[in-house]
Amino acid sequence: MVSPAGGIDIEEVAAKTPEKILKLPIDTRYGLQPYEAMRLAFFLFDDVRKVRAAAKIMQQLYTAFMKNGCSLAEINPLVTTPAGDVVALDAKMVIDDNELDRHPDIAALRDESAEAPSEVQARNANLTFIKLDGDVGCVVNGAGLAMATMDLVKYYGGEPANFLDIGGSSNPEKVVNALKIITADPSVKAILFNIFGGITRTDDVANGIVTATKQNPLTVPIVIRLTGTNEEIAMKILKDNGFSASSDMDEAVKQAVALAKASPVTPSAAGGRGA
Amino acid sequence: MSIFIDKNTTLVVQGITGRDGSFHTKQMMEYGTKVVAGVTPGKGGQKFENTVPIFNTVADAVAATGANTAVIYVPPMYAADAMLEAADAGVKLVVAITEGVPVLDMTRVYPFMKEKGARLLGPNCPGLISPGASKVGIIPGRICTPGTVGVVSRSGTLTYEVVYQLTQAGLGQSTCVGIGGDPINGTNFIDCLAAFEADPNTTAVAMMGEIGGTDEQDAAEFIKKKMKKPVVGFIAGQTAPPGRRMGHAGAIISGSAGTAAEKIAAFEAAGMGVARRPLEFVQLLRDRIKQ
Repeated sequence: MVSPAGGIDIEEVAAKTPEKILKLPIDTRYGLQPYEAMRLAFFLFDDVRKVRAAAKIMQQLYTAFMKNGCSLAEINPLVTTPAGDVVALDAKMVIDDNELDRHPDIAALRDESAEAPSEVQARNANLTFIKLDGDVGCVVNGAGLAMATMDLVKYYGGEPANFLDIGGSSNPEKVVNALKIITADPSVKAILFNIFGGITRTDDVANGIVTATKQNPLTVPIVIRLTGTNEEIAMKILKDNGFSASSDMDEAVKQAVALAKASPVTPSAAGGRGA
Repeated sequence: MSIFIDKNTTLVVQGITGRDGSFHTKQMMEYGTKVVAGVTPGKGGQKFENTVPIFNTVADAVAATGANTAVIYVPPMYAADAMLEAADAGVKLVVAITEGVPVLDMTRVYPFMKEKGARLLGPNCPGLISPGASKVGIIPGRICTPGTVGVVSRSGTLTYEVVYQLTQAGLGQSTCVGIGGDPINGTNFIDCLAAFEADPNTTAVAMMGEIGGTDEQDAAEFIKKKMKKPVVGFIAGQTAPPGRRMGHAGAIISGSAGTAAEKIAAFEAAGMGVARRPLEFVQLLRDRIKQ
């Protein structure tokens, strides 16, 4: 995609003056052909010397994009000098996370200090975690169900503290790590588990909850909803260890929201607010 | 009746001896799916569970067994190659379960599938099930029951949740399809909606979308213009913050595009029933099937 009206707010250009943008789909089996790069460059310049220079830069950009497993490679701005040269002044690249196994050199560039420590900890434990502003900590299996659970917390008047997907495979260790991350967040007032056992065995999740809470006893209430594969075994494990659990998603969410609201303000949280 | 798979589906499993592949092959066989072959390079000539012949290549498997459908349980870095191999062997439906396939790999696979006339479902999807007839993938069989509701979704466990509630309420399903949460997938909502519209046994459709992209908006447009059967929709991610990837690679709100509000508005404009929470599917579908 090229535009002579580049710079900032390209979305606005696309909406208001779409004729100032040229989009060209590239078949990655053949790559960006020289004639295609020329066509893109002619959209930017009239002077054929500049066109050739810009086309060369575009082919180099495409090569860099493919070689590094990018989902985005952008030059902005591309400028001409008084001497008539075409120069890339700045660039941005986004790498597809799924490509990082092929590019250990790029993976090594990750700056963990720029991320929330809880999100780094989650990624190292193979969990998908995103910190949010609410107080109901959510542990769910599957991204779609995790989003739907957050939405349901909001629907019943609460605010989710996070998005957390423990993934499809059942491994008690993942549950232990998930609980570590959630309980480390001082804003969490209640914890909600929502597990639909398909590949995930709910008894593995139950064992994870028991192990984790033995290691680090909970200081906030927990509401457990699980149903599906090995549900009866899971319910028994939880009951034998003093937990109650239900199989109804709406009821569990309502209960977690109510518990978070009823929770007294902890001394540390009150201090943090500078009251 | 059903869409995409039925009693005549004959399946070859790519990665049949792997951890996930072997577990789910057993599950599919127990459900009654006709698993006719497996593929693991180097294990050709052996048998899986003493019954299913294993081949070194998909071409060998198809030549020997006539398998018409393939399911892929191979690691992400090899999944694109497995998809190309299946289509090249003449398989007409390729179901890719693997999560984490690089998007650039899919840019090569997608046009190849079209050229070969093969349908790809996924990647990063739970597969599909026509209750009582056949299951290909990982959707738990016991949460489904035969019936006339078509189910199509970008999610895995959220689909299970809704299907389970439908089953408990006595609303059986014709086929449940998980199209996957990746930005490039072989089969989209419209492909499934068109198939459900043409399937004489489907009376209504439950559709679960999520934030990111414009697939749901395109689907709403299709429903408005081309469908007579009622469709009830749900969008996950109403509380998702912009700019963050919510687990699924495709579930990201960029700029002002891809929000749940925008998608729900498109559903409403198309005259669809809109479920505000998963539990509402049952009543909304019942109301529309009666009409």
